[in-house]
Amino acid sequence: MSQKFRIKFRIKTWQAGFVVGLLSALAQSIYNLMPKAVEGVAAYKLAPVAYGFCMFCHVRDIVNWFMRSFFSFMTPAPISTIIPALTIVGLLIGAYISALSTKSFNVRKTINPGLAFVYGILVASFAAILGACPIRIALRAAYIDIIAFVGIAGMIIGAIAASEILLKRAGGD
Amino acid sequence: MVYAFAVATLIIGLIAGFLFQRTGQCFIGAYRDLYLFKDTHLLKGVVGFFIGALIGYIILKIVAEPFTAANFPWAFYNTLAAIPGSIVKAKDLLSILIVAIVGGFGIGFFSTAMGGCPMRNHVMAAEGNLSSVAYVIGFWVGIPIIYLIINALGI
Repeated sequence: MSQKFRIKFRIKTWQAGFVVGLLSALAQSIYNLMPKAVEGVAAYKLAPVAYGFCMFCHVRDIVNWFMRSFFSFMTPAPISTIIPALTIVGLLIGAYISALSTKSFNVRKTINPGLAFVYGILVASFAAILGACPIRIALRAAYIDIIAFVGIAGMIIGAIAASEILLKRAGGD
Repeated sequence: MVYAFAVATLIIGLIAGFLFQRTGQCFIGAYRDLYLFKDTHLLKGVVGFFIGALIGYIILKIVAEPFTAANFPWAFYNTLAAIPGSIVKAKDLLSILIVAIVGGFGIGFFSTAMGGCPMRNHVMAAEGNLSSVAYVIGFWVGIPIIYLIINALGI
């Protein structure tokens, strides 16, 4: 079966980025299809802007959806008290289909999983402080938000600092 | 039509997962590769994403003015407001800037240490990378934990 299941498909990085960026922006118009919302206020008035694609916010909304009774103090986007965004579910399924169809699915380890778990918690924490993940900050920057550009500058500084440490460690050994 | 947003984001996620798995897109790796290797392969994806989103918002602003992108040039309507999703409720401009810099720095630093942004790690988890699976579990567990800590501190 896996022999037959191949999807011939080539795309450049900028094209893939362009398609997803355009769709994520246009997702904002979907709010208009949701007439009813919390306490009589229409959904599009509650919905955050530039919210089509976010790893942190959408995970938070799904977690909140299932654990609302335990974590009542979590403040999700008001729109996801109606129904959470399912971007992450789609992303995992889409990537799995693509990995199968290019035969790039293989079980492996890159770094120590315990360390990776800690990195996951740390990145989630800093994304919570910023209020956006690297994707949504680009989306907000496209929405012409000056603070988003500041956040991107912070990300670039952080990436450079980590790269320097990695270079030093590689050179030191 | 209550499920419209969920269905739309599910479809966007499917397309994004499929395309970004093919191109190996990473929104932190773009800056890292530019700095370390002077390689703009991934940066083109980020720039393409930015331009695509910008065109999308301009279309919304023109076509569906009253609802969808009413405050489109955000800087024009909310000059220097904080990013609404942030758990730190910064009020004045200095603390807003500090929150943006600190949050961005932390994401950039630990994502580079891990080897990819959250989206890239979710894609790699779907490719069978066990380290990324551990990262994804940490990411999902970390979010309620950080809310718990912030709530306990009462910030």
